[in-house]
Amino acid sequence: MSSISASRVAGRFDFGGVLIVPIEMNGIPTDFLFDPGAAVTAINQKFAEYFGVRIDPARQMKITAASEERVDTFLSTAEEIRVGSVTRKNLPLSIIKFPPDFDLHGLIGMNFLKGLRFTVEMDTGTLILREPPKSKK
Amino acid sequence: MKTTKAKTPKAPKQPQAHRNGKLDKPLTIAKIRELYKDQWLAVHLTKVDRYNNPLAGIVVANAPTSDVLYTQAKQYRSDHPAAKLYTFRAGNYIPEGVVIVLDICE
Repeated sequence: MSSISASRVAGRFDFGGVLIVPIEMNGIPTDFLFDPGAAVTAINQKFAEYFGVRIDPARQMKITAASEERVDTFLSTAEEIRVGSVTRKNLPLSIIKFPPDFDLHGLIGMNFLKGLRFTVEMDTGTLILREPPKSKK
Repeated sequence: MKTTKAKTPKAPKQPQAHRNGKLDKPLTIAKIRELYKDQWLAVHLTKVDRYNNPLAGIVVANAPTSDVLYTQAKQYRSDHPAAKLYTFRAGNYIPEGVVIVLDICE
């Protein structure tokens, strides 16, 4: 991971109050949903090819929503995802089939946020990502 | 005898990059969102801030659906491989009336 001490990501709220933030997937800029409720970062299957994400049918994982339903999905790797000044390389990525009228590009989950402190300014729609202070030994 | 000119139908809005065969001047992302409300857009970024937030760019494609937009965006990226092409929707991604609850567990 490479980052500066704090990164201010200018997002915006979508219908229902969810936060959409600009990201770069493999160097290509787009918008993802900020979803700290998700364990794994995910991309919409219909956009995977455009963003250079390969689907390997041999790598599968199960996902579950807040309901009881479990769905088989593909697991891939994002060579590089950047949010603000924070970059993750070779990040595990779930490939999800969203409903047809649900054109989200994807979502940023906890595996991206691991090791960071994050804050959402609810008045400005800004996501702030910080590295925690290094502990003194 | 009065003659009336037949009205010529307005040409559909063309992506800015294709007007006069040259790129138009950059607009702020906020202005682009305002001008192209509820459209899918591909914007060739000309300015980002220190945190990599897109600030301004040139609209090179716009479409009412993502399928049409991404066909055009693929073509533009193939013609301009060095371009930072920001694709997004100028409006809500989540359909009105739908509340999203996404949890993805390993």
